[in-house]
Amino acid sequence: MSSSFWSSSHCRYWLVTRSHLLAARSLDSQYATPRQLYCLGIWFANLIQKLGKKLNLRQIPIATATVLFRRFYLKNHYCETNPYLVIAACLFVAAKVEETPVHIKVVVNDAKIVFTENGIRMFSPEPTKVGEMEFYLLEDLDFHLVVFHPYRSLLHICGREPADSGKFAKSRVEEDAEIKRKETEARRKHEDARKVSLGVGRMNAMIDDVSGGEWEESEEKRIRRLMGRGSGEGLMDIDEGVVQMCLFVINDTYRTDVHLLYPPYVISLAVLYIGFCFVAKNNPTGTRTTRGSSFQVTNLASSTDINAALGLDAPPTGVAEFFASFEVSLPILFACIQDIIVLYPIWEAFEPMSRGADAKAEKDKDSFTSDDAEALVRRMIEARAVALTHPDTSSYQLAGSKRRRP
Amino acid sequence: MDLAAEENKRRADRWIKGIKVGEGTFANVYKGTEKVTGRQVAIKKIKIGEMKDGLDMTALREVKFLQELRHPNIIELCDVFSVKQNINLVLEFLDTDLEAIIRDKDLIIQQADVKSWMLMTLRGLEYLHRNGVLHRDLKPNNLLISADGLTKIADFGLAREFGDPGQRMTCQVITRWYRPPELLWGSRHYSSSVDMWSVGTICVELVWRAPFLPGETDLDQLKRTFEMMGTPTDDEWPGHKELPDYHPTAMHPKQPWWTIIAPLGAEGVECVREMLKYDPKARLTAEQALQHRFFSVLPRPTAPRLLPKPKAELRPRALAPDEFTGKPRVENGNSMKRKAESPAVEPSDGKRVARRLFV
Repeated sequence: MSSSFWSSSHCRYWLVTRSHLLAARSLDSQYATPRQLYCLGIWFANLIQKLGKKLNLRQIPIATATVLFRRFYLKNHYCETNPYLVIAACLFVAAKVEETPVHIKVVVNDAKIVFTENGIRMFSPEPTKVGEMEFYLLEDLDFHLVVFHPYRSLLHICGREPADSGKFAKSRVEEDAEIKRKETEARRKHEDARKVSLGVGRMNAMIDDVSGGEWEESEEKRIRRLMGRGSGEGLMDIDEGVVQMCLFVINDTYRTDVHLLYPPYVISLAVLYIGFCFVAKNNPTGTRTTRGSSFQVTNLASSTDINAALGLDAPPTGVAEFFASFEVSLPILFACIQDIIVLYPIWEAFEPMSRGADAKAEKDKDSFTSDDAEALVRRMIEARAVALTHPDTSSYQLAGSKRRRP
Repeated sequence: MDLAAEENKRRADRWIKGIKVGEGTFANVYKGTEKVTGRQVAIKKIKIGEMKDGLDMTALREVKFLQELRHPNIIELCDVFSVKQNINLVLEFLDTDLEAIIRDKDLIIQQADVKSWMLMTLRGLEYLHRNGVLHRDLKPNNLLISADGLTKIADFGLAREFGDPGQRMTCQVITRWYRPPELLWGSRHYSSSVDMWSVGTICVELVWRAPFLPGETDLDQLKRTFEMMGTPTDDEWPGHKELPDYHPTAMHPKQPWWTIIAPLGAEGVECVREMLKYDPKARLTAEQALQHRFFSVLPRPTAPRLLPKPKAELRPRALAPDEFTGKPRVENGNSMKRKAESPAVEPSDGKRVARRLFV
């Protein structure tokens, strides 16, 4: 929101290339493996989520805080900062940016509670420190505070929400459905009236008459009404289950770097693709029904009519055509999808969902789980301190060391 | 020095800070120049160092929105940099505002001039609304005028996005004299129409040369509104009785109040009356207003550089006390500081928390 995406600071300054990302992390990668760094990203995102929930923030401010956190670390390093202080500052700022401000003392107190629960001792609960970190955070963000999220564009693509900043009370799908319902009612009333006056004998001819003649005008009205919203694209009706799944996947994407690499509309399309695949995979039987209801994109009948009436191509009938109808580079889209799905195996190894699994008993030497994250952060910071006081000690030596502190 | 600090220093070095020209609750404004071009700018120094509770919401909103918005009729944010614990916003320099023009009784304002100011204001506002931003504090004092006569919307301290249906917003916004009745009755779900009411009242003020509805309290504001324009009826504003803070008021009859803006001509009167409709849904939108006949009939709007300007330029923009202008009170209630400078509170470097653990 607030200004169009294309002229926003998000689009102009905060979409970076993968090599930029790697360069920004070169210092940290001297003290941790790439996989460990990736896992730290998950760990910090989880902490932001937990603290955000504790502060009763909605998903959008939490998402904004996560993106601000990642933007901050494009210019800073885990090993030279106190990431927990940055987390508190990010949530404090994001809450204000999204117009649901929380008092700094509340942030500090809740942060203390959440961090203690997670075994973190590096955070000292002083409002002045968070206040000061807020200032550095703003400075390093170049005071760019507006973050665009894929939630809105997903809902728009799915026809759930008008993309017109709330100008219209209802989404196009809802509005169309309501008008159709009203028309059916009106038509039925009309038929009843006719039935009485003309007798049952000439029913059939009359229905043709009605649907062909008098209702054409309201159809035209509808075209004008829907087209008046400034969107000529085919209207998609995507199964509610897919949309819900997609919203969950979007929440997960905040544990990855995709928000620094891709614009939100690419992310929402990628998520939609994943959503379709999930649903298709979970419903291998009864393909017919799945195809009809969710896997296949069902067009609203009216959308087909509208396009026909306006001499446009018919809207896409299947998922493949649906994706092809967007003017988005498919290689970029698939790179984004890859970046999202790669999260899941790493996340599962980092934070096993099925704790009871005995298979995990013989703990791999190289495995890195959430229990080790806090220790790793401390180790990185200590190693950095050593490297700075003894510049001759090659820091690369430390990178591979598996030295554990008691 | 690391990358971010270097970048910041480079930006700070672009500008020279000059004399102080105004001050407010959270910021001082200085005149400044760009080193290379000699262009005049205004540097707004936000006193973050004094804020124990973090950056003030109004300052944060201003930075947030001005970083994203670019339009000829919106004040331009040229740069942001920080010095010690202060955030400095570099804004384009605008030497006067619409209020100074209204107050300067030596100036003669003609219909074409009003039309020109309204047109520029509405263009800026239409851009804001199109991008999903509510200004929520339009008043003559916040419509600044550039050296070449362009009107620019400024002060985004109360602005916010709209468009999340169902989200409640505070009704304690907009300076009281320019606040529409639905906000006075506590509406929590409002939209761009609140800004349009403000534009309507500003337009009347331009003709009348005095505030249109100068209420002394929120209640008085409603009373004055209805005395002037009649108490709203159900027909004219369906559903107003369901507003949270609705209370029955004395019935005032409709009267042709618009005679006071007769100099605007029939189209002008019609345009303003449609901006000042009680029912927010019936009120003209900025887009509709721009297409109104008022702007296409003769006389044409005056060219910006030919518009009347007050002789005494560079009047310090002293921000009026909060209570007087009806601005919502800032939480900590700190009354404004009238002292000249505040160098005392700059913390010494040693005591500060380092951004980085090692410096």
